[in-house]
Amino acid sequence: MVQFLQQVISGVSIGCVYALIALGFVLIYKATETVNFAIGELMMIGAFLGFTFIVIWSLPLWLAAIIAISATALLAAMLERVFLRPMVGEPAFAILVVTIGLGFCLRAAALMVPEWSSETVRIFTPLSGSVVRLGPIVISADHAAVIVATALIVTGFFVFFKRTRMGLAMQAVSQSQLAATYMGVRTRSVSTLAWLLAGAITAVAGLLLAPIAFIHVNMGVLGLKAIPAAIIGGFSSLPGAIVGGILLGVCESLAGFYLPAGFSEVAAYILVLVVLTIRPEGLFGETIHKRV
Amino acid sequence: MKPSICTLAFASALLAGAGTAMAQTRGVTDTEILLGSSVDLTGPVASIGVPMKAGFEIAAEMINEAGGIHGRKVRVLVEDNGYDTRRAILAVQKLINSDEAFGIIGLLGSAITQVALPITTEQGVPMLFPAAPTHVVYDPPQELSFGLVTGYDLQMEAATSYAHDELGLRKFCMMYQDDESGEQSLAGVERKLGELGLSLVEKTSYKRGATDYSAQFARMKAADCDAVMLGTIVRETAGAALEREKIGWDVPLFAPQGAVSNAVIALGGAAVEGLYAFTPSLPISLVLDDEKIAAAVERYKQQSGQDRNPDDYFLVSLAGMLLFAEGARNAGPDLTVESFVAGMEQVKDFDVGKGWGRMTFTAERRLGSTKNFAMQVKDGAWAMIKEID
Repeated sequence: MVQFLQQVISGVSIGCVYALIALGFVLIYKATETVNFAIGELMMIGAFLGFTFIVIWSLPLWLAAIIAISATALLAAMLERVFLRPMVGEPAFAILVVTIGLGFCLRAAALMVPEWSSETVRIFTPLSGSVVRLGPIVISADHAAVIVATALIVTGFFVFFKRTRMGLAMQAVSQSQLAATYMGVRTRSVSTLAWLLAGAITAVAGLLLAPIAFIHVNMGVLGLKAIPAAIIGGFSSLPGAIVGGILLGVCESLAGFYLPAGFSEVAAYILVLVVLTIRPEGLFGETIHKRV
Repeated sequence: MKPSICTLAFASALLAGAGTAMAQTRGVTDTEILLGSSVDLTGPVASIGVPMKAGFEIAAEMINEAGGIHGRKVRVLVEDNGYDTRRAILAVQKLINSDEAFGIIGLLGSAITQVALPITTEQGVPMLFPAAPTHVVYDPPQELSFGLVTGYDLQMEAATSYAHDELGLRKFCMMYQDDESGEQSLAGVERKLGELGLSLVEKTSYKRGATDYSAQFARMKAADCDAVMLGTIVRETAGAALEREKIGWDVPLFAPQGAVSNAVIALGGAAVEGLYAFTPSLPISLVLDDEKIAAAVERYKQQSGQDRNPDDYFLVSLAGMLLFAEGARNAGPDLTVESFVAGMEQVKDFDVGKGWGRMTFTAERRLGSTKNFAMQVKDGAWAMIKEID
């Protein structure tokens, strides 16, 4: 039982990182109906920026985090303005390919930075190395920080979407772009805002991941885990993305412990198949009925 | 059908060509011996490949300044391969066929070496001291293949006997990368445990490139072992140490050669304190009191304009070149592949510098030394704790 709980907690903390990336993924999908395959690379850039400010420039942790998150958010918004805006109205597949291309470019760009390229680095935090003991269960402080930070961010998002004008506008756009335009919502700035927020949130994911895993140019592949997480959650549901991500992390962790080697790598995809078989619309998905 | 005059003429021309090639050994002239190498100069392990190239060149300079080998100067032509096996193969073929190198020295990487070895063997070109910790180089012994570094299996055998004999540990677990390198480490541990009448209590693997080892460590902790053997390289070693710290588990870790790097200490921080690793050669920082090595490192600093010591693989280049020169000297003035092989088999207890075992080669023994050094991280630096023959 202790082992089981230990694995669940470890799964929740890595699942929180998946959840944050999935959140960025779903944010963009809801606002622009774009499946953004560059999300993992945005996370990688965010983590490397954090490393640069914290380790190379020796800025205080909080300041470095703010700059890294803002810079990644701005980068994401800029990518949307320059590369995605001209694609409005093009087939979804073409847009998807553009995002895949952006992912490759971001990775190549990271390889060109001497301090980043081909190096594996890590950010040490004041928490690194310490553990929290709850009876027989051991949680590393870095893992606990991931869980707490995710909870705070999710609460922040909840308030943003329910209470602020811009949040409501984004919700409106995600329901119907056309109707939102008619109601006076500036859908284009909503699209940029979605990328900005997604950039910020993936940078947070990257920074949270940096003390528990390593920063390297190929860490963006973790972004691919966000896709099953988003699918499990229903693809267009923000709470769904969070639950999907956490569920995925826990499944992987349990599969790694209880099942033979190799299962933890495919656990994500088995889970997607199971969820889609039982609930094709995802756990939190809405079935949209069109009236003729 | 009778062969036409044309075909006969062509065939005889070919035979004549082969005749002249036999007369003169590939890569050897009256004044020069050409060796070829291919390392990564631009890719993911360029930080190792670039100092290796410098190592070949500096060693050649030093050999040539001391009069060369029977009056011939040594030159090493180094081709970049970006750590890509296909490019490495093309480079080796170019070095043999177009540049006509006498031998291929110091290939960097086990996978690359394993694919290149059949090619050099088929072409009758010596494979000299690759920077590849794999038994394929020397076991089973092949006439034209000479090894300098012990394979991962021998390193982890040494690790297992150290843990068993010196530390009195009995319950072994192992986590390894599920590829050739990890499986060699595993083979070494299992072989040694078999000799000791023990077996692994738990073994678990991870996919190459993984950075999360929580499930693996949870399994090993649940198995309650008192030693964790690692079949890891650099990043994964630090990752394993961090995972152990995360779950608050105080178990000693034992890793092969790749761990003995400053990168592991930089990545792992306090978590790698106490980590054990087993390597055929000592890091540069511990052997600078050897005059020859110190002189080579000094040249490296002057030529590269850097004040830092080169990567430890610089020493692999240096040792390989010294061994080649010894074998070629023993071969006498008439250097051919056959005389070189005979010359190498006369190498006995040869000293390639501090931080290596004494090198001996025979017809049955194609690995110079089976010695490994037990290393441990103490106060944030690698220290040598025991020599294991």
